Amino acid sequence: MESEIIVVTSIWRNVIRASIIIVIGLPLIYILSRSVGAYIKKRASEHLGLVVQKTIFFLGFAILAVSVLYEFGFKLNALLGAAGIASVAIGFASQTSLSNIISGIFLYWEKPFQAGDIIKVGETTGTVLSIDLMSVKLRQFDNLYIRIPNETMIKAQVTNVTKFPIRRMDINVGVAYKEDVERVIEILKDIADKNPYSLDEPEPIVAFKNFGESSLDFMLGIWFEKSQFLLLKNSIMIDIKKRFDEAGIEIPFPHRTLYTGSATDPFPLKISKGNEAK
Amino acid sequence: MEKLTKPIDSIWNTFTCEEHKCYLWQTGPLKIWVKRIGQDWLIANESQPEETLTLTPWSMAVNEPSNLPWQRWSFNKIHEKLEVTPCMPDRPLVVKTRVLTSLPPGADATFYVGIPLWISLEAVSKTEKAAMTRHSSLTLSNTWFGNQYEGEFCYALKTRAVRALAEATVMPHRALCPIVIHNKEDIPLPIQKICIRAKHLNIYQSEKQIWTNRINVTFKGDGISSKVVYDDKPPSEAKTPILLKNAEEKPASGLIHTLGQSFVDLF
Repeated sequence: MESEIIVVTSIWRNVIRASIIIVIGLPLIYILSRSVGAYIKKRASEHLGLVVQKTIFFLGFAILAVSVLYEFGFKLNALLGAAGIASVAIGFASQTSLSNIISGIFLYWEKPFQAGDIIKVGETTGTVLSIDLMSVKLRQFDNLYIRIPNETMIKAQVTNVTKFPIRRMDINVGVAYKEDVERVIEILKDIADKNPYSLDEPEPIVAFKNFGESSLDFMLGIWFEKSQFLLLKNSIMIDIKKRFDEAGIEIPFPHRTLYTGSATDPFPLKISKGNEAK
Repeated sequence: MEKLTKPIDSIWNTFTCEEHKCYLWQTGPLKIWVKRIGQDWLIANESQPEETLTLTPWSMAVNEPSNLPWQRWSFNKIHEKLEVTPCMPDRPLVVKTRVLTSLPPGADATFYVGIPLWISLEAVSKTEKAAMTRHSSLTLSNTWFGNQYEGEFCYALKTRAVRALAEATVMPHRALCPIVIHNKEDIPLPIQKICIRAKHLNIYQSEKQIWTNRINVTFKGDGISSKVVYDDKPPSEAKTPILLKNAEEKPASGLIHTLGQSFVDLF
């Protein structure tokens, strides 16, 4: 009877100690990981801050879990032994997860992008929210949350849109065949020079690209500071339309010329009265 | 040639603003309308594309601007006055000469560059001053100083870079900055562009002109860092100078500032 009481008291003691470890330990790990992460984000980079924050949290959580198990009499040696056997089985069962974790390490190592960058993966474009153990989280511009497994990120072609401080916007413009090419080039250059978001240097470029199906095709390439993408995009399109309208330059829609067997003969037309046509 | 009709120093001042009345202030192409309603200030501005020499120190506006957006500044107490001060652009300036200029070996030359001023508006009460907004007197285009991977986002400024002071047009909205270039090398130095860190410039008022401190650039050879020194005193050309605004930041490591660029980037 007495020994039973001692055992019950001992269990309760362990439960209380384990509870204390959890109640004090969890918030402590949370606060520590957040504050160290925030400090590194401020001093170094957002990406490194996130990685350190998560490392501290998961490491602390593992230590906490082991301490709690220890309070209930689980021996660490036995646990590690069991973990060794289990890991083989789990390894087979979770190849994808392991592949994602290893890919995550490579992503961290290679640093093709960081949290806060705008990237394009396949058809998806968005801002990197976090680079985690298993996946990269993106926020699309229409506020959709996208999770891309790290393995996919390693295999796919990733475009980092905001890696460099300046970018070039290439705008394709077509004008009618009757227009004076030199005049069009001059006007396009002037449009770029006068736009407040266009950089003077590197200089804007205008290229006569092609004799298109329905138009003479030009490319206007304007350098801009990366944060001014939308401002430039909207203003330059309006500028081009306005200036072309002012100068009487036609932006053609696709044309189709029909031939009736001979390039010289006119297309035969039959003129009929309105009632007859019905 | 248009001439200044009012003394240039009449525009930098603290002006009393009566409630519900609209005032106009103008320097060159920049017009600013100001209205005070109780604890709030309403500010509208317009920058004309052409540079003019018009000065409107502070007067009741004949017409309130109807097509411009008003910007409202709210305070928790009444500020009866408005202080208008000149300040430097918020980004560095990349100055390019309109005509390709070269400096022979061993020569030095002074060029005068008119830097467009930014206008700072502060609400003033008996006990405190509160910054509201800054407006550029001239709309400058953007440029990049550096390469495609790194550099600085700057304003572009095309200049005649006049050599003689008499040739410089007195512009009420521009501060004249004397730049002395020393070519210490035995090869000619083509002057293409120079990056001016506007935050290192003081603004002075002389009798007829607004000035900045002098900039001394010493070119020591291609691939070797050129030395750029910003003086900490008014230029000798300014007669009876009065300090209007201190530089926002002193150049690093005393007065010497090294750009660490090749001459192509520096000029």
